[in-house]
Formats: sequence, C-alpha cells, structure tokens
Amino acid sequence: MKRTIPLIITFLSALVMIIIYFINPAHVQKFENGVFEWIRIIGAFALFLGLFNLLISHFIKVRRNGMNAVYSIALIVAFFAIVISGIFFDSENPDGTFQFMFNNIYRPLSSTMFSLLAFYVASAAFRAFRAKTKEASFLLVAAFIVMLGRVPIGTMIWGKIPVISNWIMAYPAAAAQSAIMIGAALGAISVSLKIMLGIERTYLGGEE
Amino acid sequence: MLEFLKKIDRRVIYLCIALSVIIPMLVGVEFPVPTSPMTDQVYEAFNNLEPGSTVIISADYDAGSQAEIQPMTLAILKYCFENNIKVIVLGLWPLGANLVENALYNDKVKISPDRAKALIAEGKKVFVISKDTASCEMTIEERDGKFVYVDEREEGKDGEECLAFSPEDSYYVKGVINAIDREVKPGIDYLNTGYKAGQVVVITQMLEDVVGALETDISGEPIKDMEIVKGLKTINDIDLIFSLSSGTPGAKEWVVYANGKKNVPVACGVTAVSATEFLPYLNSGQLSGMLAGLAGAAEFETATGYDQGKATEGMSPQSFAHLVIILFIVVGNIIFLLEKKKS
Repeated sequence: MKRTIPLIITFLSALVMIIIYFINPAHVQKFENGVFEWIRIIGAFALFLGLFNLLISHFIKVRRNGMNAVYSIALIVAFFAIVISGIFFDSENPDGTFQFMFNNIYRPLSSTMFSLLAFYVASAAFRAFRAKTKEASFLLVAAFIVMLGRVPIGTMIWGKIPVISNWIMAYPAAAAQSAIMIGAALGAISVSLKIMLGIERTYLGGEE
Repeated sequence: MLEFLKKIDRRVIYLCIALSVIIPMLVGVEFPVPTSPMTDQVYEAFNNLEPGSTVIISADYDAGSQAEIQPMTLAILKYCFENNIKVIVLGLWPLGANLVENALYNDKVKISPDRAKALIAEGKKVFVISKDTASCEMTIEERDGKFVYVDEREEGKDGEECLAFSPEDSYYVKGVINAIDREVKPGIDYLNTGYKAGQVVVITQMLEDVVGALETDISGEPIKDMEIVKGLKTINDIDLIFSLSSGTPGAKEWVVYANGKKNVPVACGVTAVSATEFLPYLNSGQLSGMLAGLAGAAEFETATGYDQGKATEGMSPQSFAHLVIILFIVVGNIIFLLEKKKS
C-alpha cells in the first residue's frame, strides 16, 4: 500500500500530462495550470533545500577539519557575503555591494574557469588527436576545416574553407546529431514508460 | 628534436595558447568577418519584424559562458532598440536576467566617434580610452564648442584638458540603452522580468498566459499594467523568441514547446561547443536561425553594421588560437608518424 498509492499517482499524473500535451481540451486547462503552479512552487522550495544541503555538507567538512576545509570556508564566506548583500543592501543598485561582487568577482572567476578549457583542449589535442586510422584521419581533416571555417582567418587562407565547413556542419554533423538525438529520445521514452508502469521504482527510494 | 617535441611540457602549450590570445589583442589585429547562412537567418528573422513588434529574449546562460553569449546579448538588444522592437527579457537560469540587466545598464558598449559626438550632444555620458593613458577611462564633455576630457591620471598632466576624438582613442558608453540615440524606457520599450523558477514549466505556462506566467519584473513590481504587455495574452502574440542558451533549460525547450506546440518563431544564440546539438532543428526549420559561439556573435555584428562590437574584437585572438591548436595537432601527428616509421 505504501508504494501502490504513489505508483497510481505517478501513472495517472503522467497519463494526464501526456494527453494534455497532445489534445489539450479546454476544460482541463485549469487543471494543467494548477499542476504547473505546483511544479514551480516545488521547484522554488527545492532551491532552498539545495542551498541548505550545500551549507550543511560544507559545515560538516569544516568541523572535520579535513585537508580541503579551507575551500569549504571560502564557500561559506562567499555564500553569506552574497546572500547578505543581496537581501540587506540594494541588490539592484549598479554601484551597490551585490552588483560589485557579481561584476568584479563572480563574472571574471566564472569566465576564467570556462576559458581554462582552451588550454586543456590544446594540450589534450596535441597528445591524443592522432591519425591512427582512416576514420580518425577523416575526423582530423574535418576538425581542421571546421576550426578554420569558424574564424575569419580561414576565409583569408582560402575562400572555400567556410563553405566546406558549413557543408560539414549542415549535413554530416547534423545527420550524426539527429541519430544521437533520436536514440536518446527513444531511451527517454522507454525510461518514462518504465516509471509510469511501475517497473522502474528507484525514484521512490529505499529497497523494494 | 623528436624526443624534445615528444616530451614538450604542457605548460609550454599553455603559454603558446596564452600568447596567441594576448598578442593579437595588444597589437590590435583586425579581420573582416563574413557572415554564415545560420547568422543570415537570424538577421533575417529580426529584419522581418515590423517596428513595434515584441520579442522575448530568454536569458538561459550564466557568467561561465558570458564570453560567448554576452556579446550576442549586447548586439541583439542594440539592434532591437535601434529598430523600435519591444524586448521582454526573462531568465530560465538564475543569473541570466541579471547579466542582461548588466548589458542594459552597465557593460561597456563601444561606439564610433560619430555616434559618440551625437550622444554627447544628447547629454549622454561617453567615456574615452586614450592610447596615451593606456586603460584610463575619462568622461568626454563639450566645453566651448570643443569636445574635451580631463586627463587626471597621466603623470605631469593632472587636470589638463585633452582634445577628444583623436583617431587612436576609443569610445564607449555604459549599457546598451545609453548607446541608442533615442530614450529607451523600461515598461514601454523593454521589460526585464528577472529569473523565473520552474524551468520548462515557465515556458508551458507562457503558451497560454504570458503575463500570468511572468507576473513581476526584476524588481518585483507587477507587470500586468505596464504598457509593453498591453494586448499580450498568449505566446502567439509574441513575434519572435530568441533564446540565449548555454544548456538546459534553453533553446531546445523553446523549440519543443513554443515552436512545436504554438508555431511561434524561435531563434537562438548558443555556445560554439553546443551548436551541433541544434543543427537538426535548424535544418528542419523549427529554429529560425542560430548564432554559434563568439563567431556567430561577430557575424551578427557584421550583419547589423555594428563593427565596433566585442565579438568582432574577439575574432583575431580566436583566429590565432585556432591556428596554434591546429599547429600543435599537426606537430603531434608528425611525431606519431615518425615514431611509427621508426618502429
């Protein structure tokens, strides 16, 4: 019984949402809106839950005084600095503390983290991107063409490079991507059906 | 030589990449940026809008991907305001709408000397970055019919008035709304509704009730009486949705729900690494166009005639970085082939 009722609720909710997506009769509009409201409210509470969890786990790390406790302290300090400045100071003021921290600490740090990828990609490509087989050689040539085709210097080297690059993107790359997407969608449908029909129950937690 | 190249330290590679980015920026190398068909489609989508049309800009990114996405935000907002297109912003990601707010009011927008003169005449604040004083930022003022700025930082020149508009100086304003030669009013010309929790549910709610789903602006004020939303009921009252997307939820969700269910035109700006994901939607016509990475942003700047943009500036460092990466791959393969021959 403890599991049967949640399974029935899951099945009925999923069924109704599928029907609404494809048919959407006027009289269930109100129900649909109600469900969407619930989801947004639950989502908002989930944010709080996530923040609370994050803080607790880092407080525990600091108390254990492990090797990486200093990072947890940095996180806790940053967390409270942002929350306090956001709530108690004028967060919309472009010259205020919150916006100052956002523009001068968070934005540069985030961009730096993202830009590090370029260095790792260069190093990894030098060591691992090898024309070991015929297929790998094709991939290598395609990569060169697309890399050059996406920057203006490619046009300066040879005017046809962007044309070939656009063709690679529009046909072979798009075809491969479509195959991946269709495969992933079929997988998602199968998992959803398993959840709906009660075959997949791990989301209910605990042991069966 | 082979052994040296084989054992090359990764820090040497990092240094080469850093130099390939820094040197073109310092030297100021500029390349003409041709547009691609994907960008032309985005430009057409915007260009086909009548003045007074309403566009939704969904800020589905955060600061991590701002290097690629923020120049798109600046260029698109600038184009919309210049062409009298109304803009409604929302963020499906927590920081997205705040980044757009920065683009509106705070981020540097480079302008031409002619535009700078026109804006000063309108009483707007224009800053100059002088070559002589490196990165110093000074405000240009009009005094006795001359455009001057007071150089307070250069040694020995404290307080001296300098004539502005020398060919080597560059000019900018803070925020897109200050780069436009008309007054752009919140609640009338644009509306930033801030972060909307609920991910894809926000989109599905907007299909039937845009104002009800968005409810308040970024400062918490109800939007239902604002002029920009008058006559706006369902998503079909929106002329174009543009998703600035660097993940989920983002452009894909807008395509599936807004275009798939209601046939509203959707275009997107995405990071270069995720551009391939959207190609099937572009080929099928579900996406009206796509800006792919910084190159896409630069192409959009070219298409709209904004040759001072951040993305266009970024094209020369990116070009050289790509060349250096290709060079390393070639060297790596030469080593591999020589070793293979040896063995």
